[in-house]
Amino acid sequence: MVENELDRTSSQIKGLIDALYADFTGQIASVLPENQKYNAAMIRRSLEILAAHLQLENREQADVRFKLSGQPFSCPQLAKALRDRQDIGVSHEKLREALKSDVMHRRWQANPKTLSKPD
Amino acid sequence: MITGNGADIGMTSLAEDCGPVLAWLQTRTGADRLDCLRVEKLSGGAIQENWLLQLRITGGAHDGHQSWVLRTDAASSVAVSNSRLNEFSLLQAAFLQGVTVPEPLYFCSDNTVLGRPFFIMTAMPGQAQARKLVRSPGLAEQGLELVAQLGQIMAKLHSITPQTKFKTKGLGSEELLFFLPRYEGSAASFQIAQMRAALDNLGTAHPVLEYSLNWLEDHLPIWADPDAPVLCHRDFRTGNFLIEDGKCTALLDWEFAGWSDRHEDIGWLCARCWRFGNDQLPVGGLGTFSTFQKAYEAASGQSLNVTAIGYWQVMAEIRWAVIALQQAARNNSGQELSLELALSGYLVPEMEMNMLNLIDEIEQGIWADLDS
Repeated sequence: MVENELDRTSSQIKGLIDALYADFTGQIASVLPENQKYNAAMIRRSLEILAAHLQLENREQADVRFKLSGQPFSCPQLAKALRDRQDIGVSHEKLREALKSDVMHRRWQANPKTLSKPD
Repeated sequence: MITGNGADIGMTSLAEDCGPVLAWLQTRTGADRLDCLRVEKLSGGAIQENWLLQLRITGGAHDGHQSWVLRTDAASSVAVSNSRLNEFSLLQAAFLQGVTVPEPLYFCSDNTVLGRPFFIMTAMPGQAQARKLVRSPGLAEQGLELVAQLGQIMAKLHSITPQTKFKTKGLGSEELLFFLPRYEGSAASFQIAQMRAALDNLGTAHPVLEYSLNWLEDHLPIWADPDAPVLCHRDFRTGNFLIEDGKCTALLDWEFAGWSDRHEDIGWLCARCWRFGNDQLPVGGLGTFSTFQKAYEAASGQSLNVTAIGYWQVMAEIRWAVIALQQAARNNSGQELSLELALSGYLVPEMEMNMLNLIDEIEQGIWADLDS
């Protein structure tokens, strides 16, 4: 059951992208001339990325992406804290772990068909 | 007299209006007649456009059939790239030093000819497509010889210093590269400052890049050797050189060249992001580092600091990430709408993962050299 208008809209857009993807890959891309194959691959990948973004739960799109030692940081806050050489309150190893976890999610969003979605 | 063969000309800007370029070329070459047999936009190059010109020239300095390449700006360029005039001078310097490059022929600064500056160089044979090269069936047999040749080419390039004088035709001894910016201290600290400035200009937040730049800065005493600067290509990688029958025929795309630490070029060539999936072959996905190192050291007479190369590899991942972000920003700002540019931004997490893994390996003492 759709709980709210936002979910309904997301669901519609997801359906539209899925249909567009199916049409494009099934009927259009295969008949394009050789010199358009690269463009077709880029369009296909763009549609995959769009669909992956829509799959994200609200939790994953929240402003607070990094919870380090109990202290929440948005992406801009953490970037600024690092530039300013502030004490983040965690070891380098823990910080790299948190950064890697964030990268894994963005990496999946960029390559949703070739990578499995991280937990 | 100038003629163009419309049948071979595609619906592209230069192809539609190549008359002024051909007229200009006829004047420069002193030809009696210049027939354009084919004009074709070459693939690749998000920052520049390259056009193949096949010409039949009668009379003048280049009488006969000629295959030339016209290189000009794309609709917009990234902040750190050299102008076409500077790139032409870089190509002249490299050619005169004996580096394997196309011969630079003519430069045109008159915007009434094409609407933007351009230069003409000889077309060279070979394949540049990186993914094809690293999957080539001949790689197992020819890869070692190829990376040895790349080591020799790079050593020749690095023999150019700010003090090098070049003999140019009719001009005597010239400092061709006077326009390249000099830096104080080490190339590494200069690069870190440049990358931070580039991130500020982008106006978006990138914690992984900030962390990695801090990490490089914290370890400067280990890797930043303030050696005398040499001319570095700064985009010396698979995809930017032509290969024919297992041999490099030309080093291309000089738009990022500048004075730097020789290890920057090696870190760039060997960075994981430029191996195109052939991770076990650290030299551009083509061959082993020990082979490259031996050839480079023999040709240059300089010993490489292998430890420094690991740090320059981290820098390479950062720099490529910043360039990819700049390319995406060109699309996102509406300056130049392009799916290829837009997708560049989605390459960044790959580089970020590479730099974090590399930092982990160096910190844990797992990283010993590039072949390990």
